[in-house]
Amino acid sequence: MNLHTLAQSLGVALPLAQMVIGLVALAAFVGVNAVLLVWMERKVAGHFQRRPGPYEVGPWGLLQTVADAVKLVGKQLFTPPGGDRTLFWAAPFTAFLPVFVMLLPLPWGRALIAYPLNLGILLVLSFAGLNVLALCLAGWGSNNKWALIGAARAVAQSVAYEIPLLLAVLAVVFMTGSLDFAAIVQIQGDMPWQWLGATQPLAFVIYVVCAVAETNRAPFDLPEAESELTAGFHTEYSGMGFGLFFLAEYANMIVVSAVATSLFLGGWKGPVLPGPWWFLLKVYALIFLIMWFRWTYPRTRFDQLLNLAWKWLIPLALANLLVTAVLVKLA
Amino acid sequence: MHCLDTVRERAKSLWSLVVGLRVTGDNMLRPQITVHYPRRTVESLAGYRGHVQLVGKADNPAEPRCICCMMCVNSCPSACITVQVKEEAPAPEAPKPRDKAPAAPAEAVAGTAPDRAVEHGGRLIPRTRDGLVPPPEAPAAAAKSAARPAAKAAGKGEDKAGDKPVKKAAKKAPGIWSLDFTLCSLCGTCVAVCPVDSLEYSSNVYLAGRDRREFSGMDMLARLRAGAGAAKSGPDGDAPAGGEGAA
Repeated sequence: MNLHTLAQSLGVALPLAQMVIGLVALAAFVGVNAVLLVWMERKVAGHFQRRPGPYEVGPWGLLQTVADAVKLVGKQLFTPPGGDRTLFWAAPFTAFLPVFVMLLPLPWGRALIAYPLNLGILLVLSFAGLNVLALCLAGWGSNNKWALIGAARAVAQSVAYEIPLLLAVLAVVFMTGSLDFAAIVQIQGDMPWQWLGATQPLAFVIYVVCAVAETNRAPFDLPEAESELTAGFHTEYSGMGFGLFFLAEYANMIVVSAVATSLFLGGWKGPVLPGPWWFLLKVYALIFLIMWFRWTYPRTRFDQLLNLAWKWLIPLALANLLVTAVLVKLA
Repeated sequence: MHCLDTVRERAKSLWSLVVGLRVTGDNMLRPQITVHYPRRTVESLAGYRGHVQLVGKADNPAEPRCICCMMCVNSCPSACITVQVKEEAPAPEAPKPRDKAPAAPAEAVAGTAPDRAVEHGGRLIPRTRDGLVPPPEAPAAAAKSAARPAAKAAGKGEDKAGDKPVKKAAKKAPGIWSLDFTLCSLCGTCVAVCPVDSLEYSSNVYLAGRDRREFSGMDMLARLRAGAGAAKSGPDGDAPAGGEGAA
């Protein structure tokens, strides 16, 4: 029997069943990926520094993240006195849970979409804004000066970089006339020159820079810079609270890479291999690039960070959008 | 024009970002420097500054070059070096300079073999390495100081005039040379000030022990002898048999 009859027999609508199954699968994917990405980050960091990274625990150190997670779970959950307890513990969940919603409309394969939505881009961009709220809650609930400064910086950074992100995505939307991820991927072809990244290179570059800034990754990781702010907005979190923020950062990296893959790199399209493999390959290539950035570039100063967004990326993205609009209209 | 310059400058900056990526990318493809201890170990690291150890003489590696000038002892900021001159047996007869050795040898100091002393000018001078008596120009001074009453051993001022020619021939050797590595600040001053280059850094990168006491009195003489191929001794340096090669 197929999914339709199964859904009917259970008394649920098919789209709902599909979404629930998709959500469970995505949760499993994010969970496994978090472990994998932490391992990958440490290995990549090691190799960039001509050292091996973890290699003792498990083959090639694969179980190192599991060991770290067990250690984190075993730690005492400590709430800083004087802070707002509810907000303090709401923050990690607010950072982590929107990731699942953001992964729903992405096309992982030709028919592999958890929740096909013709407003997919709008959904992703709006839930990305919730990350800012999580940072605010973390900084305020910690009752800690540095956490508050870190949170304020993080909010300013996220808000500033959301605008060029939106403008870059909008250029793609103008070109394709659709907010649906599946439709945008369908328009692109198999080969790199048939991707939207080839026709919109500036938008792609701006998107990647904004994605790195939105996920608070180096060189834009001032909010969580250890040497500057003793870990910024997540100073007061230990054990699983910190683990959730950590998890949220890597999950957000997956989200922005997956969105970039769908919009600019042809999504699941590619010769020979089946769709989902190409999608994963492109996502991991982008994540590797983001990690490469982290171990190459020095951290930007806060005013440099904001200047980059307001004085460079926004005008460039606007110019790009203007040119795109003109060309689309003329075509 | 100015805005074109700005654009050119910005383009150069952007290109430098790509160059930076290339640098780290190249680094990733180069072989790793890490040695996977304990499956593999390094033989020795040439520039490694371990603890301080004695350097043996060229013709007699079991004997240190040390002349007991005490410069390392005095310059050490942590006061962790202990050096004691190998004391000689006091001659039972009084002031007969560089004559036959006294009949009864004195007891050993720090487990080293007794040496024969030559009393000269009221001070005990150990024999030279090859057992020769001090060189012939000493006699004039010797005769002079023999005339003096037997002075105290530590009479510096008195001996100064008469001792000079003899000092050349008489060499001190350490009877105890001990390092308290638990106090050592690893500054290297002792190595730098030693006038005979008798100190060097150890290149043992795997130095480890289970007890603090293994490092609070490291007997460097025993280590030197052990290293020179003599009888093995433990880290505490229980002295090997006899003071071979002594003076």
